[in-house]
Amino acid sequence: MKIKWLILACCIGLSACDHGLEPPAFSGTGRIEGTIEYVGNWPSPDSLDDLRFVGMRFIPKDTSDFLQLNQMVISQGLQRNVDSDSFVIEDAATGFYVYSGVAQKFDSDLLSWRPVGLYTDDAGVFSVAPNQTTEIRLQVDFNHLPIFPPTQ
Amino acid sequence: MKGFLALVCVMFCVSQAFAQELSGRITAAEGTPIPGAHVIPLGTSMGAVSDADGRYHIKSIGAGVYEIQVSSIGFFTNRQTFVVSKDNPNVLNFVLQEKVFESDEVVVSASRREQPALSVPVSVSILSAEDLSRRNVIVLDDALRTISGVQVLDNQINIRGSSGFAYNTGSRVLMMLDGMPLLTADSDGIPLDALPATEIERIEVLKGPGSALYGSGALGGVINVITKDFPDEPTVMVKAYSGTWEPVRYETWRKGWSHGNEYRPFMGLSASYAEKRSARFGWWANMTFRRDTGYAALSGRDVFHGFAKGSFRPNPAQKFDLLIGLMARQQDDFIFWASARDVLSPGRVSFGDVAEPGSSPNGAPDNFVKQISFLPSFTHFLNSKWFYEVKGRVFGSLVQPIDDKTGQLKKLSEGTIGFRYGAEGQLNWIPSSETRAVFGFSRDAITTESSFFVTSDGDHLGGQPEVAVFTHLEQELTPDLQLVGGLRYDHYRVDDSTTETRLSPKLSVAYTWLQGHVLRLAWGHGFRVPSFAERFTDNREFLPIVRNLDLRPERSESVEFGIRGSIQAFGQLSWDVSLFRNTYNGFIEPRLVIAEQAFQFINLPAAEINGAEIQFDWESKNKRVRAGVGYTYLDSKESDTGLPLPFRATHQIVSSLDYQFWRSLSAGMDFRYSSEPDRVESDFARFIPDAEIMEDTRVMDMRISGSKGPIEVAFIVNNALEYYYVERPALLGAPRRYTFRVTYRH
Repeated sequence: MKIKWLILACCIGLSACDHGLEPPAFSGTGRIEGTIEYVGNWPSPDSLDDLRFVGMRFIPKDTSDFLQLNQMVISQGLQRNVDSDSFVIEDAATGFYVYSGVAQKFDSDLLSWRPVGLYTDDAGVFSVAPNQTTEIRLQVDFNHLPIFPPTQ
Repeated sequence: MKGFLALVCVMFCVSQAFAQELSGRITAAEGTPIPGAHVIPLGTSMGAVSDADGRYHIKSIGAGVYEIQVSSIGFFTNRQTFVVSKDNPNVLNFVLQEKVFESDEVVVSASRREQPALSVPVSVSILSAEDLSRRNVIVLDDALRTISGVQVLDNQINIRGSSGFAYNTGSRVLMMLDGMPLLTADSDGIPLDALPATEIERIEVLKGPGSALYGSGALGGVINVITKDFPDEPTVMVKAYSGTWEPVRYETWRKGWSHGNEYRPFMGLSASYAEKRSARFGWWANMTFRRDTGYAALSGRDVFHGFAKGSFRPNPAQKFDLLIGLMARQQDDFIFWASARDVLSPGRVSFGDVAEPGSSPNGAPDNFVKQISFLPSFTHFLNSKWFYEVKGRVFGSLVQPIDDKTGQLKKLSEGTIGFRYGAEGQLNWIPSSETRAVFGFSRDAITTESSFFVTSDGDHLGGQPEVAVFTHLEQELTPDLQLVGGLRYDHYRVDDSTTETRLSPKLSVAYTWLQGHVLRLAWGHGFRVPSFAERFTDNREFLPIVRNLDLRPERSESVEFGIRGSIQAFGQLSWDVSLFRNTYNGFIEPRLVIAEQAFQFINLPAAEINGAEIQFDWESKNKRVRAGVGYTYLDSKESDTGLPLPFRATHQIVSSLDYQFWRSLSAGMDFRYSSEPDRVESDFARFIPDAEIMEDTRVMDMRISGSKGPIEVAFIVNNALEYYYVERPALLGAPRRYTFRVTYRH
């Protein structure tokens, strides 16, 4: 009889224990819709490995910060040699994006990216709210590329 | 006095006139032979040393009455009066009692020879075959997690915080199989799958640098896996187990993976045969197959391995041993999760690429791995004072990637092939029962070719060859005071133009304070040469990694004071307390190097780890209850920043309890706790979501088993508390699983 009570007590004790790591609370996601206007001369195809919109929640210090993928949203590949294009990023993390623009991958190296046009409205900052759509517009002038790293 | 001398003279003359032979066997209380024991008829110049089987022969001893003394380090000296006669067979056997109360554990790792565990002058823990069996240890890391001071972060084994976590590249703990180094040739990783789990006699864990004996790799300690010897009667063992992973508790995690709501099975079958065909020859063989579907997506593995060991003694003074092993494994490596909200799915790191249909995330590459080990050795007792051992070793591994889309093996040129091979010789000198000395040399080399490596000179063959000479001296200054010293000189060729040399000393003292209480003080150096992977990996397939030809060896220095003892307290209570201070220089760890715009293995500044460890083990008088608890405290810091070293748990507790409550029915549990590391520094966390998250570890394993005749049945629940922890950055620790096991022994 004592053993039954002991087993019962053990079962209650085990089931009542802390279970350690839990899934963190979900802060929600929003949607980013963007429109891009291209001016200037497109770069040669061999230096245009990839082209995407990148939204950053931090201001990068150098290209190594392109590895901070947890603080960024990235669009699908954009069209090339067009006058304008648009993109949609679903499930973008909520919060403020302080350095965003179109990035060109000019070599096969993982870090061979550079910005070719920045979002400049509202001092370059936009926010994404849960279940909301944020619309942005930006221009890429291949003849006048932004300075990188940015001056703070 | 004159009378005594006259008596000796008379005895000598008589003995020469009527020479006989005195022989016998020297064993410990439990019957195991004691090699190297000194047998001396007192008052004569004769004597002998027992061979590997504990047997001795004293030739040309005259008939008469003798007092025969037998002595061996670690045992009480024994004397018996014996009448040597020309008419009767002159056989005199001895059973020696160990010096430490009721201790029956022996170790070989501390001094390259078998000696009682409780008298060694360094910290050492032992797991016996029984410990492994009752826990259903399938892979060795399951067993190592139950040892105080040992923490396993995925495949990275820490002894007293030595390793931290360095992405499984370059172990700071030397793994050995029967005394032979067993690290993979490419990354110096520990091949836990390449060990015969069912044929292990014991595992010895040496806590502290062991480079004075074993050279590179023994920076933080040594794990020596000793395989079983041969039973007197032929033995068959078949073990089958099956079990299931329980779905995780949280719906959020389950829904991230299509199989998240399912019980995921695993199974294994192992068969062994062992026999001692004669006094000259014995062998065993084992084959094991394991299949595990894994508790997370793309974490399954199939493993097959076969091992065989044979021993041949052409005569009592010579012994040949051979251990061979083959292992084949197909597996997905779950490297990192998608996020803390999706821990069962491997993540993808790419700059916005869309996964190609059929391709697996790069957080889980598929590989087919084959490993082979070939370990011959020869022991020869030359005479009563000298014997030598010659050992060879070849350990090869082949890693072939699997094409995600077709499931076919890719070309070997896209994978890695590596061999670690070498030999060593060891000359043992036992001038008296108080003095022992070992002199040795070793020669090792690595041959590795990998699509990931770019060496400095394109010379893959004979990479990083090493030559070493070493010596080890033991001296019993008094019956209670033992002094041990050692020195090893290693010479490595790093590349065509660079060589590295290391001198690794050690010194320790053991003092038997009371019977069964031993004080020890130990000091030693350790070092580790960078692995091929750390020095030469140059690849941008998954992450940008560049080679570092300037990488230097890591170094460590350790000082330890300890006391161990054993007292009667409602049974037998053993305890071991130690205080230690380890300093490190040039830790090799991967860092994102801005100048290179890539990851690179670099040498970090100095660091130190100070700590304390206490271990209690208790067994009841009727031997039905056994309990153990160990606590380890670590205080680590980097010298330049004063910050704690990353991934080191400050507090660690391991405990176990086993109770035999009815005949052959018994139950037991293990509980281990380690505190969340004070510091988590992971460049992983830049691009892998939530890789900075760590947790306390609180894992309880429970078991119940019973046997009838040759059949034993066991039921085991691992992680019974269903406690979720992080094994290492971005990898969920093993959740709850149930195992049912049947073992047949005959």
